[in-house]
Amino acid sequence: MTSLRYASWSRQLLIISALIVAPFAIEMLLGRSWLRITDVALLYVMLALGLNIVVGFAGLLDLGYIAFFAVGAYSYALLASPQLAIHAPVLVIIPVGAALAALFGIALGAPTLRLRGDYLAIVTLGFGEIIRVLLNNLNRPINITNGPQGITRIDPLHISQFSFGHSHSLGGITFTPLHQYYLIFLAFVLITILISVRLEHSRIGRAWRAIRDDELAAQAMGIHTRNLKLLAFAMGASFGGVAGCLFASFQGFISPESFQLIDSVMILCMVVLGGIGHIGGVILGALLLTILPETLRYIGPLQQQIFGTVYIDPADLRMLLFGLALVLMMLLRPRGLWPKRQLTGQLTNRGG
Amino acid sequence: MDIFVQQLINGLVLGSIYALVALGYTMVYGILGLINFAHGDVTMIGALVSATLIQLLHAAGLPVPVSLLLAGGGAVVVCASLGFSIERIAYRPLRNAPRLAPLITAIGVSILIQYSAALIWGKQYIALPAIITPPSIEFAGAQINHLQIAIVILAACIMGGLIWFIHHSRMGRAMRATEQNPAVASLMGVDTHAVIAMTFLLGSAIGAIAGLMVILYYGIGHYFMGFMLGLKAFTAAVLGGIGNVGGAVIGGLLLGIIESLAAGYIEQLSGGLLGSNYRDIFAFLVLILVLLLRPQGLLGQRSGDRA
Amino acid sequence: MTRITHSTPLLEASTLCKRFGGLTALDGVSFTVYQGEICGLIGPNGAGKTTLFNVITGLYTADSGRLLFAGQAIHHAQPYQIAQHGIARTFQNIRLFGTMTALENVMVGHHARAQSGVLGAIFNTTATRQEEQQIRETSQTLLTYCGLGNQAQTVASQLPYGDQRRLEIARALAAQPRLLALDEPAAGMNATETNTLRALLERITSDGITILLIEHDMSLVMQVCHRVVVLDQGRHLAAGTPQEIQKNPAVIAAYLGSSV
Repeated sequence: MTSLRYASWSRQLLIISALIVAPFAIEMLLGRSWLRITDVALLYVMLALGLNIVVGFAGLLDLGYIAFFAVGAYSYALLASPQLAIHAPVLVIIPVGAALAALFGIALGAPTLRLRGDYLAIVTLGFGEIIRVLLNNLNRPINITNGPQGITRIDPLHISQFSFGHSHSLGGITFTPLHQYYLIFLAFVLITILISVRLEHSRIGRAWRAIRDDELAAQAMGIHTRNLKLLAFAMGASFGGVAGCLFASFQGFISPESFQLIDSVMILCMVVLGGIGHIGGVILGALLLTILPETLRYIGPLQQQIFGTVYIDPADLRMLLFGLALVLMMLLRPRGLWPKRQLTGQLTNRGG
Repeated sequence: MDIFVQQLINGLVLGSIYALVALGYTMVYGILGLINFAHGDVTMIGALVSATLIQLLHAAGLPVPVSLLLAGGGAVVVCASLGFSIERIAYRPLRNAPRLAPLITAIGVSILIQYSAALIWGKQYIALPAIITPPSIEFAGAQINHLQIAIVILAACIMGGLIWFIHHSRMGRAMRATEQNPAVASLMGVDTHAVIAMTFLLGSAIGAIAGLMVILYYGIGHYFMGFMLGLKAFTAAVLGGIGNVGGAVIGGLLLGIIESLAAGYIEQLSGGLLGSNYRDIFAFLVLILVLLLRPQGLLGQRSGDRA
Repeated sequence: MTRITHSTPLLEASTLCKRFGGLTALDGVSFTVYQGEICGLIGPNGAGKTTLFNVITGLYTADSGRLLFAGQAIHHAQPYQIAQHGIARTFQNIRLFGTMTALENVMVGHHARAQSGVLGAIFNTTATRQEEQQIRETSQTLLTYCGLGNQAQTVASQLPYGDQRRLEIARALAAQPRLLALDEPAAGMNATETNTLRALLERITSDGITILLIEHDMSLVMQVCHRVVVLDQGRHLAAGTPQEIQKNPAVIAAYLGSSV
C-alpha cells in the first residue's frame, strides 16, 4: 500500500474503533439514559439522511416524512408481536417494512408530481396527517393497529437464538441490549451513509440535482422527471421504513403519538438546519436536534432548585426554543450550519 | 335526507368561520407568494384572548353584549399587532430568500405562538362559561339558533366589507396593484412595505373575529386549535383559488358544507362504525383532489410555471 | 459560406399550429432543416420563434400539424424523449443547473446516453464505475472543446455570462445530438465573444451536427448560416440563403413595417 492509502485506511480504522468504543464511554461518563438517547439519535440520523434524498437531492419539499417511519414501525409491530399473533423473523420483516414504505412513498409521490414548493409541502403534510388518523382509527371494525393505545410487547431484534433484548458477554465484556442496539443501529447508519454518498455522485444523483435546480432543463436533457421523482420518494421512504422497523423493535411499544406532524417538521429541520443536501451537515443536524433538546431535561429540576417550583415545563421550553431556533437560523444562517462547500462562494477557478 | 338541512346549516356556520380565516391566507399568498403557517395560530390567540376577556368582563358584571364587543375589540388589537410584528420581524428580512427559508420561518413562528400560548394559558382546554344561551328556531325540519345566525351575518358583513375595501378604497387599490406587480406598483408610488403590513393587519384582525366566533360557538379553546383550523382554512383558500378574495369566501363556505355533510352522512351510512374521527381527513382529501384536478381553484386563473 | 447542396432532410415541420387562448402563436408553419447545415430562424419579436422551438423540443404540443425527425414522428413526444431522439437544446434565458459545477452540468447532459441506474450506483458495480469514468472524461473533453477546459470545477452560477452560454452548448452536446437547437446563443455577447461563438458553431457543424438557431444578431446569422427561415406573426414568411433573405422585400417589410 502506498503511504497515502495507508494513512487513509488507518484513519478510517481509528474512527471505526472510536465509534465502537463510544457506547461504553457514554454509559460510563453520562449514564445509561444517555446511551439510550444516543441509540435513538442514530435512528434519527437515518431518517434525516432518508429525507435528505427527497428534499436535499431532489428538492422535493416533504412535510409528511414521518408517515414512512410509521409504516415501517407498524409493519414490524404487526409482524412481530401478539397483536396479530405473528412472529416473523427479522430478516423477513425489515425488507417488507422497507418495501411497504417505498410503496407508500410512490403513492404519496404520484399525485404530487406537478406541484411545486409550498403546495407540495401542504399535500405531503396532509398525507402524513391522513396516515396518523388512520393509525388512530383502524381499530374498528377489525382491530389492526389497536388505535390510540398502540401495540405493545413487540419482539426485540433477534437473529435465530441471539436476541438483542438480552445481554451477552464476549471476552469478559458485557454487552447490554443498549450496547447491542447501538452497534446494529451504527451498522445501519453506516450503510445508509454509504448508499447516500454513492447515490449523490452517480448518474441518478446528478439527475436529481438537475431536477432540483431546473426541472424544465432537466427534462430537455433527457431526464424522465416523473420516474426520478418517484424514485426519490421511494428511496427516501424506504430508509424511513427501515428506521421504523428498528425503532419498533428497540422500544417494544409504539403508538400513533410518536408519529405526529411535529416529528416530520423536526426531521425536516435536521436537514435544513444541518445543511441541506450536504450529507455531513445533515448528520450534524440530526445529532444536534436529538441531543440538544435532551439537555433541556435538566431545566425542570434546576428550576425546582432555584425557584422552588417549575415555571416552565421542560418539554414546552424545548418547543419554544426550537421554534425560536428555526426563526433565528433562517434569519442568520439560512443555508444551515454546515452547508456544501461549493455554495459558500469558494471559487476554484484556476484560470480566465 | 333527514339530517341534510341540519348539516347544511351547520356547514354554513362552520364555512363562514373557515372563510374568514381563509381570507388571511389568501391575501398574504396573493401578495407575497408565502403560506403564512402562523395564521391559524394567530386566530387561536384571538380565540383565547377573547375567552379570557369575556371571563374577566363578565365577572366584572358588565352586560353580555358589552363584554362581547370589548372582548372582540381586544382580540382584534392583540392579533393585528401580532400579525404586524410577525411580518416585520420574521418575514420581511426574507423577502428575497430562496423558497424554503420563509416556509421554515413560518413553521418556527407557528411553534413559538403555540407554545407561548401554552405557557400563558396552560395546555388544558379552556372552557367559556355558558354566558349566552341563544334561543333556537325551527327551520325546514332543522334547528338553527341565534348565535349561528349572528355568526353567518357578521361573517358576511366582514367579507362584504373587505371586498368593498379592496375594490373601492385607495389602500385597496394599492393592495391589488402590489399583488399584480410589486415592482411596477412601487414605481407608481405605492409604498409596498405599508401595503404588505396592511395585508397582515387586516388578515389578522379578521382572524381575531373568527377566533371569537369559534370560542362562542364551540365553548372551548385550546393552545393547539389553530393547527387544524388553519390547515382547513388554507384548504378552503386553495379550493376557491388562492390569492382570490372572493375565492376564499366561496371556498370556505363550500368546505364547511362538504365537511358537515360528509361527517354527518359517514356516521349514518356506516352505522356509527366510521365516526366523525375521520372528519378531519375530508379537508385533506378535498385539498389533494383540488390540487390534482384543478390546481388554480374554482375562481383562479391558470398561471404559468410557479417555480 | 459555401452553399450546402441539399442533403437529406433531418427535421420536417408541416403546418404546425399552436394557439394560446385567443392568441395564435403558430399558424400553419412548415419548413425543413437539412442534415449538416446551420439553419437560422429569424423574425421580428413575437413572430413565434421560441414557440416553434418549444414545439420542436416537446415543451408544447402543437394543436395540429406534423413534425418528423429523421423520418420519425415526434410531435407527440415528451421533452425527455426528444433528447433520446437526438435533439438537444439551449434556452433563451440560460437554464443551467446553478448549484452544480460546469463539469457536472455537462455530465448531466449525458443522461440520455448512459445506462447506470440505482442498483449500479448503490453497489458500485464495475459497469457503473466504468461508465462514470467515461462520462467524466468525455465531459471534460467537451468542456475543452467549448473553450471551458479549466472551468470544470467552477460552480455554474458563478461563471461569467459568455462562459455560461457556452456551457449550455457543451451540456447540449453531451447528449450526442444530431440536431442542436440554440435559442439566441449570442444574446448579450460582445463582438469578441460572438466571434468565439461563431468559430464554435462552425466546428460543431464540421463534426457533423446540424444546427438550428434562433438569433437576432444579424451579422452572426449572415456569416454562419447556410440557410435562413423567416417567421412573421406565426407564419412562414420566406426561406433561402442569407443573401436571398436580406434582399427579400417581404422580409424587410416585416422587420421595418409595411409602410416602407
